[in-house]
Amino acid sequence: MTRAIAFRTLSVASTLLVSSFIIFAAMHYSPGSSLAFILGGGENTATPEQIALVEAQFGLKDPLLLRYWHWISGVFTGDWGRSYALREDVWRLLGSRLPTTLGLIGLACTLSIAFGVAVGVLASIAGRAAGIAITIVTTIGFATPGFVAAIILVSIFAVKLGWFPALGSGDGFANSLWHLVLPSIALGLTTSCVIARITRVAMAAELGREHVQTAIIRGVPKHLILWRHVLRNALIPIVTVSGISAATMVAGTVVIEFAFGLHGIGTLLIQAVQQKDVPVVQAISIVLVGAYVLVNFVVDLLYLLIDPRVRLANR
Amino acid sequence: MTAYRSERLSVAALAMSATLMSAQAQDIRLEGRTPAAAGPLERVVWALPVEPASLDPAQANEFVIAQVLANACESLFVLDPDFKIQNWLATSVSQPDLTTYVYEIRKNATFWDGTPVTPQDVAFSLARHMDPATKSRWGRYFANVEAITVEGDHGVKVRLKQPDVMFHAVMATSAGAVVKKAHAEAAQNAIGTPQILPMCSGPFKLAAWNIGSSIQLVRNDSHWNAALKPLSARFEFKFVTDTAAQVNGLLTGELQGMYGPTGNAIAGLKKADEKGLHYGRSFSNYNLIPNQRPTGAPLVVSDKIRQALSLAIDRAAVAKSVFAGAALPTLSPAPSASLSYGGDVFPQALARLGTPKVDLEAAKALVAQAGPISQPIVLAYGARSDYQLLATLIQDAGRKIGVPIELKSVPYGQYVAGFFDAKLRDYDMLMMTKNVNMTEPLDFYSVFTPSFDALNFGRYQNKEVIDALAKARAETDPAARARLIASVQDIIVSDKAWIPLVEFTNTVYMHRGITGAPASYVFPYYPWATGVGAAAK
Repeated sequence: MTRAIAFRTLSVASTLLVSSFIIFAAMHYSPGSSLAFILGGGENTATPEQIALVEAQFGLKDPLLLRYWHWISGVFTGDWGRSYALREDVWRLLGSRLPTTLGLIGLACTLSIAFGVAVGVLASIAGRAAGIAITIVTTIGFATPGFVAAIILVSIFAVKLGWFPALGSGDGFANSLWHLVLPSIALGLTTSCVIARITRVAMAAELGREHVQTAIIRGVPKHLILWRHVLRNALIPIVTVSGISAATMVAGTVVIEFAFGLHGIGTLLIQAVQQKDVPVVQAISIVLVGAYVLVNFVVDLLYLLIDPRVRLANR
Repeated sequence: MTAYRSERLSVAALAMSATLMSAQAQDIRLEGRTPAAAGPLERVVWALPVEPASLDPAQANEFVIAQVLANACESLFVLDPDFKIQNWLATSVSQPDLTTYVYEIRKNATFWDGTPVTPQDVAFSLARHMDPATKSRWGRYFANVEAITVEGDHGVKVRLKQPDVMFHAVMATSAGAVVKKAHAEAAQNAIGTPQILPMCSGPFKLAAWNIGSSIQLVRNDSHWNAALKPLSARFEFKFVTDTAAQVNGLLTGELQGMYGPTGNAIAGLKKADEKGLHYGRSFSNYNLIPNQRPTGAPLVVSDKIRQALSLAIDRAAVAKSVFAGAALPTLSPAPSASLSYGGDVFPQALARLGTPKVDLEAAKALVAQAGPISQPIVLAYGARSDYQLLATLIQDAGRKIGVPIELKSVPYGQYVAGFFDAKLRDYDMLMMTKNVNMTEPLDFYSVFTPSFDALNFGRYQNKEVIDALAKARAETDPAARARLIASVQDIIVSDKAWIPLVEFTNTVYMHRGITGAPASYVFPYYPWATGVGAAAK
């Protein structure tokens, strides 16, 4: 067990290290210079003295390995640097943005998993007509990109009906949650439809299994069969898909944050990449890679809980 | 100054606006001021298209930072909504000789902490721009300054190496803004970050900068100018980048006003609430810039082709479809609002340009004279929906007269990086908005001189132009200066150094119940938010 944990930690650390170098190198070799954004984005009114000073201060002309060394040695001493463009400590910048993104992804996951599983279960036990109707609706939902959903949701529920705010993050817990409802629906729509369909297929497969048939013949109450014998066994594919979806939502949040004027990690990343803001891009990518690894880890743990066979195999 | 206007979701927005704009062709009415507010408001929420990179006046040569700071950090002079320069923290200016300006500093102005604004603070604030470590974006305007000293009890003397009218003119922008010396020095000159906001004297105090979401201003009740007492106790700037999100916020009233919406946003607002939109004169021209390639590479866009393109581009269609009608076709490279002095010199120079009209036959004749075109002209632009649409219209104009144009969309960040790296903008033609910062056309035409050569994107070089502009920059008599600049304008126009397209009017939107923000492009210079209040019932 200790060896497994040590191995896991080591692989996570090397993943983070390698990915940080690849991203750093890509930023280094991409065209243009950070200079434009350190000395102001809109226009070049910089004097030659300013340019010389900035190039020396930020080591912009240094070779890749030297620049990376400066960055990584800073990281190990706890100094992640300051944003070039916003002149602000990187973690303070991220700290102000993370709650919005985490809240968005958290709410989107909760809503889409709850909705997806409920609809999937319903579709598998409802009659033929209801099943077809649900299939059609989930197909449309699956094919609707997040930004289109955003436009539709805002124009109906914010502009026309005025039930939800059209943009922004809000202040305080309840108000922030209120602001995140429409964005979460837009972000989680595709995922919830995928989960609904996976759930339906997995449930249907389990319903046909011998032990379920036996249980039905023996007269076990229907809700018990569904809960203990069908859904529980169908959970493995559902959890796998939910895990992958949650991880990919991190990428989807960029578009949704823009559409709803939310200030999260996604919008910050796009802005930072465009501005060659190396310290910010590096810090966000570490967070994203870390989040990916973490989600996968949680999914593995869930397997242990759900399926005794996995537990046995790990003994 | 260039607008940062992000255009996510532009596909959907374009599709929406294309249908909206077909019905709107009527002319727009330009206003200076919008109807005055009738009463106070507890709080106003205003949209900013992007989060400012800094709130240091030394960084405020673009309208996002400047529209916040204009209300908080006062300069020696201001540009009022009628484009007139008014004394502000300076109560007078004298010029004992051509290379000396002496500014008399207001005696009754105090910083937000209650301490008086002193000539020492003024001299410090101006000299900051000359220290490379400040990274001031106004540095080039101080290139001719020799010394800045305190003169007597209430004066500041600026000695120049050579006469320079642009130095004095820039004092009416945030280059002339005064910050408290002791406060800035205590922060090692690193002011304008979310933690250390500058200490200024304006009618609004900078109260808080919440990273990623908003900037809060509160009324300064001890401001020296009682006539300018803000109507709202709190003024909040919210950062909203996406065009669709801006429009939704403005229409629902979650955002109560905004300066400088894009053409797409204007189209959306026009459809839903046309009464909320106001248009004014601006400092913003869109130009098509042929690359003159003085380095010896072949000139793809020859003289004749440039003339032909200028005749073929339908500027009225550009104004209508790219800017939702909020733009005026123009043949003047410099924004007309900057041509403000010299009696009838500039009006006559503008009259010589004629009126923009499409003449495809004449254009085709010019193309025939130019001879066969071996390869398509590459037109590069930053990937923003306004440039995108504009480029398509130019390509179409070229197609009509047999000039093949290839479009090259460059990611906007890389396009900006190109301002600092000529290799990144080595295309045959570029598209650019060059805003000016003052009612001084030299601020525009100086791009063709060595002192602002980084902005000379087409690398146009003409000794006659450079000499005349150098003379104009030293000429303190407005009429004589106007004549020199008008002569430069004639050359630039006949050479088609830059091909003028449209003047994008200044647009402000205010939600129902709110009024008072000036319609003219003075919001980066004038404490405009003081007048924003409740509209008459």
